[in-house]
Amino acid sequence: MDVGQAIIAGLIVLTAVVYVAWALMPAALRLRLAQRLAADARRTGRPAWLVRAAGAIERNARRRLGGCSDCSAAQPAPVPPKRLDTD
Amino acid sequence: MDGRCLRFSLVADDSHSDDTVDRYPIVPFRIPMPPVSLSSLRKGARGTVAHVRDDPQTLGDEAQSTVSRRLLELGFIPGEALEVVAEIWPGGDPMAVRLGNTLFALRRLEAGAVLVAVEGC
Amino acid sequence: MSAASVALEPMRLALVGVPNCGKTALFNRLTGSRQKVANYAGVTVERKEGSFVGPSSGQRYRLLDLPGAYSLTPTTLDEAITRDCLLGRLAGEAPPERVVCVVDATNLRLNLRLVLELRDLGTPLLVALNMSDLARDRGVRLDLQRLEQELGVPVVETVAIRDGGERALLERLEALPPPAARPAAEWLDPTFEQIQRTQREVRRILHAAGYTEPARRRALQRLDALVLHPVAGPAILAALLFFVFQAVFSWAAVPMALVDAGVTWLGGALQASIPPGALNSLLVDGVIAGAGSVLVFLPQIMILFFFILLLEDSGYLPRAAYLLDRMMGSVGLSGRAFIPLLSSFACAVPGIMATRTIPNVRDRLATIMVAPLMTCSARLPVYALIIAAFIPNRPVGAFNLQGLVLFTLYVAGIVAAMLVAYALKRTALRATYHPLLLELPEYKWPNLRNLMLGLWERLKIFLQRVGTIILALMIVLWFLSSYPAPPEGATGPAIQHSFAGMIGRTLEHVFAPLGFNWQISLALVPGLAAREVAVGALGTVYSLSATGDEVAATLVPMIAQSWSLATALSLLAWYVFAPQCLSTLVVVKRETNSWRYPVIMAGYLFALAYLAAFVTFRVASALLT
Repeated sequence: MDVGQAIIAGLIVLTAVVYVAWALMPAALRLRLAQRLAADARRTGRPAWLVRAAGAIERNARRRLGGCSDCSAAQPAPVPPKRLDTD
Repeated sequence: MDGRCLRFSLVADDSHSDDTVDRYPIVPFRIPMPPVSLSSLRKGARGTVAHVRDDPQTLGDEAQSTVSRRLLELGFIPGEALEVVAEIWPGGDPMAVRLGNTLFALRRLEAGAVLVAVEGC
Repeated sequence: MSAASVALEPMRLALVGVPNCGKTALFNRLTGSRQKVANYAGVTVERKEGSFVGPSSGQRYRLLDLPGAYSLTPTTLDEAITRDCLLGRLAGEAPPERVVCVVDATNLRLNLRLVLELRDLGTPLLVALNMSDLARDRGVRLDLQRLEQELGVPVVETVAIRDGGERALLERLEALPPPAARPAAEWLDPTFEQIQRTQREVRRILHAAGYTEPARRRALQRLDALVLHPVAGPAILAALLFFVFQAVFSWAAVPMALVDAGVTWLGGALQASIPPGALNSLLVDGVIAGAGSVLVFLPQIMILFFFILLLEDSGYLPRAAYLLDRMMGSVGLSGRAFIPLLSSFACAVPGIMATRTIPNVRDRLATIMVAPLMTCSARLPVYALIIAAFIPNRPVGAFNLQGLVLFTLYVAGIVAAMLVAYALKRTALRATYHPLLLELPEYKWPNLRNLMLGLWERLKIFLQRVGTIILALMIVLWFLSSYPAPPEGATGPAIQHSFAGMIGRTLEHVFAPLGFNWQISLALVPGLAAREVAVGALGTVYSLSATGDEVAATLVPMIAQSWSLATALSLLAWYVFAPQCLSTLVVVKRETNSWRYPVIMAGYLFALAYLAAFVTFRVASALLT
């Protein structure tokens, strides 16, 4: 059981390390990374869930542009949708 | 110079006999003091706004808006009832002023542009 | 424009009004929980948008709650945003198709001028006469039809705080004809004479509509006589703040014990049910001892926020700003600086963003630089931990010693902020004029619904923080503290041989003059990401240091045993000044558009913290031995 425990623990630690790196890296770098990931996923015809996940990561990176992601007050404005009707 | 009105009265000299024909009528006659700056009024003073000077002093902000323009926008216009309700010790600066039914906190410096016709005669 | 296309695209509405007119309550009433808070592009001004659906037409609306503005001629960044948004001058923000101007029915004199200005803009306008129930109770008389006639725009009564109070507004809104295409509004700042003319027009309209308002209630006048009194006022303020800090300890005692018991039970259950090994240690020493230690302080944080929200809602805060203006002014700050400084008690980030209401740029900069010194709520767990471990729960006169110490710590933060502001004003930032010019809004009973919504929001944020970044950092810390494993035959707890142990020992050299042991020195590092994490880090580190198979005790008795009082006091002094979390530094950078200020801020805070802790430790050691 020791090995099993070690593996599970290792996975948890790995996840935590990735999360901490994601949360603490400079915002611009994070956004670039996320955009590259999303573009990559879309381009090479990867499975749909991967594309969606990459999109979600990119949105998260955009949300974190404000520096503090805890409360929503620090986040940049959502992009307003394009106008559909004509004047 | 506390802004109170001066009171004059032209009255007949009662000691004389009343066969004096052209006696001056008894007319209590108030000559109100010229309007004083709000910055000189102390707690308890009441009056009405007479005038707001177009003071070039700015609020130091992005739009370079002047204090007196902001005072106008807030309602410091001629005829509005005014009362100084509180002031800070020592020095009396800043002060709390009731304008109509709204309370404002101002520094004396900001209040300088407002001229008040003081009541209390 | 066909009716079909109108229904497709949500109609853009904007909510405008002077501050304190109940606009936010109406916004909440209309949009409920369908709100999104963010920022206007390029500035740290809060952008609140919500959506709702018209009940009879099915038309969807997007409602933008614009910052309160006394006029379309701005004096603060807030007001500039409102004007620019209405004029369509904001990048990436289309101008609203309709404007709803919220006016306070009990104070039309102040509110109506803005309506006239908005009318001149040309955008279809609807006036919401808010607090109409309150007005009626107070005996305000108004001929609504006549007012509508005079203004030339629809006027509808609303009661934002009551259920269904917005119905009339919705009906009227839907009955409005679809907006016609019109050229972009030309806008020039009005001249002095124009403003006077507008004001005269306001008076004329009010007179024509038979508007009468009764005088303020006597009880409130008497209350203000006390609250604004030069001697009684500050005394009341101090007593109020003191009461709040006392409550943070006394009211939280029972809930905290419950959370603590829950966390301890969970730790014990995991310890027993999982065979010893890496996972067991990760969960018990990392997750439970780490994140759990922080979770225990949830009740205290909630109580603090409760009082902050209460004070904000009641209308007391501007009066506090008035009372403190003299003191603030003596070091070059404006009394207005108090309000964002108080909300920094919750978190420095919105506090720094709230400085947008300070007109003078230099004042604003000074306030931003000192805002971190006003305790952020993340410091509370650290303060509470040390106070609980070292300060006995003894009554001192009418007060409680623990509450007294907490009050002192907050006051120390304010005094420090004042000293720093003074130094800044003297040397680097010289401002000439510190405006006050503040409206003191009427007192109102805090709205329970808004209060609960606010608390709920804060609760979610706290739990999210604990569950994400704090948890992740604790897991990483656990890993660093458990590996490399100690070599055979090594003595002492395993943690001393790990990465974390090595880092701690290195840092100890830096912090030894302050009386910090290596555990504290280590805990300060993850504390840079989030202040509360220092508590969690201490929890994990001490939990891993427990040798043998003793049951994991809670953190408080452990540090009470191993630290000296001088060390504890020194750590408290450090935390009064402690360098901000990374998030705050990033926000400062965005707010000031330069890396210079965050670097200066971090630097001076570190230096002050070091100095304060050093002095405290030396003095305390000398006095206590």
